[in-house]
Amino acid sequence: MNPEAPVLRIDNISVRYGARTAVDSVSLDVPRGAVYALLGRNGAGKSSLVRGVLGQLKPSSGHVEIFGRDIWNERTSLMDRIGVVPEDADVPPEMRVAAVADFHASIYSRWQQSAFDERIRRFAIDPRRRMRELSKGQKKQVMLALALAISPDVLLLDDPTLGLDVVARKSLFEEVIGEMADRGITVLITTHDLAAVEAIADRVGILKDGRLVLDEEAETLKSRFRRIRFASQALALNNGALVAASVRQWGSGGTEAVVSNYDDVAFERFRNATNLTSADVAPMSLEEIFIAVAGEA
Amino acid sequence: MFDISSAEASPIWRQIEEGMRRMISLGALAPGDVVPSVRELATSLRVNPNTVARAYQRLTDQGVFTVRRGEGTFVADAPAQMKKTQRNETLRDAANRYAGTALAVGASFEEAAGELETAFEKLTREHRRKA
Amino acid sequence: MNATLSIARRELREKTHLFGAAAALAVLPFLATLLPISRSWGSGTMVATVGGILAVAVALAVAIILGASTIGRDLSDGRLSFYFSKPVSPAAIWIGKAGAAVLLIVTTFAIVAVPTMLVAGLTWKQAWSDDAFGFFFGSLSAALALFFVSHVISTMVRSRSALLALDLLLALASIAASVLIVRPLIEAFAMGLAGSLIIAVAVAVLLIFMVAPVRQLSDGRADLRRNHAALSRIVWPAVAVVLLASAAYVTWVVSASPTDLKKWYARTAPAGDWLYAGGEARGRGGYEATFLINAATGQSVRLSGPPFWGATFSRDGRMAAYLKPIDMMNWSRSGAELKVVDLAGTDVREQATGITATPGSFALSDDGSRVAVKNDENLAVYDLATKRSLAAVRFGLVRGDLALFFVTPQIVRVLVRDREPHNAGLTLKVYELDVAKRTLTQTGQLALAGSNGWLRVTPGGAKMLVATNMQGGEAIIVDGRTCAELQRIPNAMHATLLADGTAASVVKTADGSLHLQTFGAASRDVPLPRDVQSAYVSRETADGKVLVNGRLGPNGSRVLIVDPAQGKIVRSEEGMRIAAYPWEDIRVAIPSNRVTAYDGDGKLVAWDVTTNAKRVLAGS
Repeated sequence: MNPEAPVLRIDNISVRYGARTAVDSVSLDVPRGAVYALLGRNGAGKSSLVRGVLGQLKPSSGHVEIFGRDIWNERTSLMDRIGVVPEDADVPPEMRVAAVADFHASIYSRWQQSAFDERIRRFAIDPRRRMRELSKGQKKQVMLALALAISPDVLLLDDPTLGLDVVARKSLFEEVIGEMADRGITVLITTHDLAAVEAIADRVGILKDGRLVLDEEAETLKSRFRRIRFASQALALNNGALVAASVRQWGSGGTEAVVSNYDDVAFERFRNATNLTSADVAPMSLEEIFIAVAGEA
Repeated sequence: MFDISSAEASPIWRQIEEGMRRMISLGALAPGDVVPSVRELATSLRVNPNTVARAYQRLTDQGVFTVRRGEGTFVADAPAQMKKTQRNETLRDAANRYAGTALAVGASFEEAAGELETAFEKLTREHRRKA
Repeated sequence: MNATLSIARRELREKTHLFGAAAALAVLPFLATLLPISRSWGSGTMVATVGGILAVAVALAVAIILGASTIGRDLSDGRLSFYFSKPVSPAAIWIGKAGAAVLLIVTTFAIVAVPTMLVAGLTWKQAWSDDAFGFFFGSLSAALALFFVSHVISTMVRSRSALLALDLLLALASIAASVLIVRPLIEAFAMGLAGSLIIAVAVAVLLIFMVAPVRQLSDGRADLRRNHAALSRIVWPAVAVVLLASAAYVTWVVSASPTDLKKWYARTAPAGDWLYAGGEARGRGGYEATFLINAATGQSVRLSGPPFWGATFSRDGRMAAYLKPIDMMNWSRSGAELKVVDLAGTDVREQATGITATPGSFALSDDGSRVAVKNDENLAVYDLATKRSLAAVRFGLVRGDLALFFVTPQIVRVLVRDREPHNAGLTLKVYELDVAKRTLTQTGQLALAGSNGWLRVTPGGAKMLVATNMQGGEAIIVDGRTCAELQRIPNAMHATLLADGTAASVVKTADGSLHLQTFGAASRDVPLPRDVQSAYVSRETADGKVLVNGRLGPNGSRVLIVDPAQGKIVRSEEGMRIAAYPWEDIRVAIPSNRVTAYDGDGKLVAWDVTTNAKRVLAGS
C-alpha cells in the first residue's frame, strides 16, 4: 500500500432519499496521520456522509475507500481497524460498561483491555455501571475508550463534543491527541463546535446543503481569511484585488468585510487606492470563517 | 510554558517555534535541557501532534534542538544564535506586522514604541521570575 | 463464527429476564391443582392441561415478542449501528440474534412444559398426545415459524414507509395467487397433492423468511427504511419465484395428457367414436385427469371436472354431459353444474349449462338436444340449446337408486329402486314424465328379491332385465314400462339384454363350469374354457357376435368372441378386456365392431374386433 495514498478517500458520493439529496457529489481525501475536521450544521448532510463513510449506508452514487478498499463491500473486515465515537451512544442501555468491553474484546482482533481499563479509570467511570446510568459525557468517554482500545488506524469522531462540558471536552481531546502522537492514527472529526478542533485540524471541510463548499488545509484557510473593519461606507475591495466573502454594516456608518484572499500587499494596495487611513484587520478563527462561508445557523 | 492562540494570524507551528525560541532566549529552557515530548506538548497545548512535530523539526533543522536517538529531543548545547541575517529578517517581519497594526489603529510612533517597550519589559520580567 | 457467538451470548444475557418470567409461570400449573375443579379432573390432568397450554402460549408469545423486537427495536432505536460499526458481518448479526431467539423460545417452552411432564408423567401423554415428541415438535415449530414471520412483519411495519402499502398489496396478491395456483388441483379432487403443495409453499416461504434477513441487513444495514426496502426487495421476488415454481408445477401436473395416465378407467359412448376416460397421471402426486377421447382420431379434450364424477353420452354419441362441482371446497353442499360437450361440432369443448344436477340423476335425450335432471324433489327437462325448462314436476325424495332415460324426446322414463318403509324390502318403481303434458305417472312396480343387482333396458325401452343379486342367481326380463314378467333366467352369474331384446347370460353349471347361454331365435349353450374363473357379457358387435369379458385370475383376462348363431367361440383375444359403459346409461350399447378395450399391457386401445386393429388411446 502506497504510504502517500490517502487513508480515507471519499470519491464523488451522493446520497439521495427519494427526491431529497442529502449529500451531493462530495469528494475528499484524508491523508495518513492527518486530522480532518468536517464542519456542517444540522441537516447539512453530515450524518448521511458519516454513515456512508462507515459503510452503513450505500451511497446513491460514488464510493468511499478506506486503505484503498471499498467500505461498503469490505465493511466487516475494515471495521476491525476503525474506531468510532458515534454522535449518540448506540450501546444497548442495559449493558454494563465492563460487558461492553468484553463484547468488544471478543470481536476486535487488536483489543487492548489494559488501555481500556486505564482510560476508564482516568475518566473516573465505574465499569460496573450500566450505560443508561451514565451521563452523556461519560457515555462519550466510554465510547472513546472503546474506540481507542481497539488500536484503531482510523478514528471517526461524530460530533464528539456535543453535550460535553469544558472539562470533559478537554480530556476527550487529550486522549485523541495522545493516541495520534503514539500511534499516528488518521482522524475524521465531524463537528459544529469549531473552537474545539481549531488547534488540531490539519484540514477543514465545510458541508453546506449536502455540498462540500470548502476543503482546505486549516493553515492556508486561516491565512487567507481576514476580517477588515473601517469607519466608512463600503469601499470597493477589488481595488486591491481583494475578494469579499461577506460585507455588512458595522456600527454607525462603518463597514465590516470578510476577505477570503488576504495578503498584506493586496491590502496596502486597497488602502492606497481608497485613501483609507484607519482599518482594523483581524485574523479569524475557524468558527468565524465557518460562519462567513456557511452562514449563520 | 506558552499559550497558543487560534485567533492569531500566524500558524500554530510558527507560534510553537517562536514560543520555544522565546523560552530558550529568556532562559526558561537551558542548553542540554530535555524538551517536552511531542506527545506532552501536543496534549498540554491541545494541538495536533503533527504540528508540534513540524515545529520541532524546524527547530532541529536550525540547530536549536538536537535529537539523541532513543533519548529524546534536547536544547542544543550551544543554542545556536540565529544567524545575524536570519535574525534581522525575523525581527523585520515582526516589526512590519506590528507597525502595520499600529498604523491601522491610527497610533503614533511614540505610542507604538511605548507599547513595545512595555511588552519587552513584561516578558523579560516574567521569564526571569519563572526561571 | 466468534462474532456470531458473541452476539448470541449478548442477546441471551440481555433477555435473561425471560427465563425468570418462564420460571415464574412454570409454577402456575402446580398452583392450578389447588383449584376446586382440580379435584374432579385429577391433579395430574390439571397439571398436564394447564402446563401444556401455558407452555405453548409462552413459546408463541416469546416468539412474537422476539420476532418483533430482536432486530426491529434496535433499528427503530437507531442502535443497530452498534453492530454495524464493528467488524461483524450481517450474517453474524442475524444468525447470532435469531439463534439466541430460537434458544430462548425453546428454553422458555421447556421451562414451563418439562416440570409438568415430569410430574404428570403418563397423564401428560393422555391429556395431550401419545406422541410427546410430536407435541413438542409441533408447538415449537409453530413458535419458531412465528418468530420469523413476526420479524418480517415488524421490519415492514416499523419503517412506516409507503412501501408498507405495496407489501400489503403483494401479500394479498401472493395469497390470491396461491389460491389460484392450488385451485386446479382442488378442482381435480387432488386434495392430497393440494395439501402437500400448500405445505411446500409455506415451508419455502418460511425458509425465505429465515434467510432473507441476512440480505435485509447486508443491504439495509443500520437504516430502518433501507432494511425494509432491502427485505421487501428480496422477500417478494423470492416469494414470486416460489409461486411461479408452484404454478409451473401445477401447470405441468394439470397438463397431463392421456398418455401420462398410469391407472385409469374408461366409459365408451353408445355410438360413435368418443369415450370418456380418466385416471391417475404418472409422477404427479396422485393427480387424476379426465378426458374425452376420440378413438378414431386420437383427439382428446380435457375436462375441468373432477375424475369420474358422473358422465354420459347421448345415444347418437354426438353429445357428452358430465358434472362439475360448483364449489370444489364444499362440493357436497354446493352441488354440481351440468357441462355439455358437443362432439359433433368442429370446436369440441365444454360448455356451461347453468343446470345443477347430482351424479347418476341426469340423462341426455337420444339426439342430445334435451336433458332430464332429477334434483332434490323435482324432475325437470331442459332444452340444451335454449337452456329453457320444458317441464318440471314434483317427484319427491328418493331414498334408494335412480336411473332415467328418454324413451322418446317427449317421454322420460324414471326407474327408482326404493326402500319401503318398515323394512319391507326393495321395490322397483317405473314412472314416465310426459314432457308435453307435464305429467308424471307411475306405470309399473316390481318387488325385488335381493338387495343389490343391476338393470339393463333395450334401446327402445320395451324390455328390462332385472338382476337382484350381484353374486349370481335369478334374473327376470320384464316389460320395460309395466314390469309385467316375460321371462326368467335361472342361475345367472351375469345376464344382459342384446339389442334385439333377447337375453344373454353367463351361468354356472353343477360341475362348476361356465357357459354362455343365449335365448335368441334358437337358444344356445356355449361352454367357456375351464380356465375362465368369471365372465360377463360386455356387448354386441354389428355382425351379431357377443363379446364376453373373461377373468382368468387376479390379473389375467381374455375376450371371448362368441357367435350365438353357430353356438361357439369363434375367437379369443388373450389379455384383452372390454371397457365398461357409463353407468348413468342403463340401456344396452348399440352393436358395433369398434370397441374400447384394455390390452395386455393395461393400455386403453380402440379395437376393431373384426380386423383386430388396435390403436393406443391412453397409457404408455
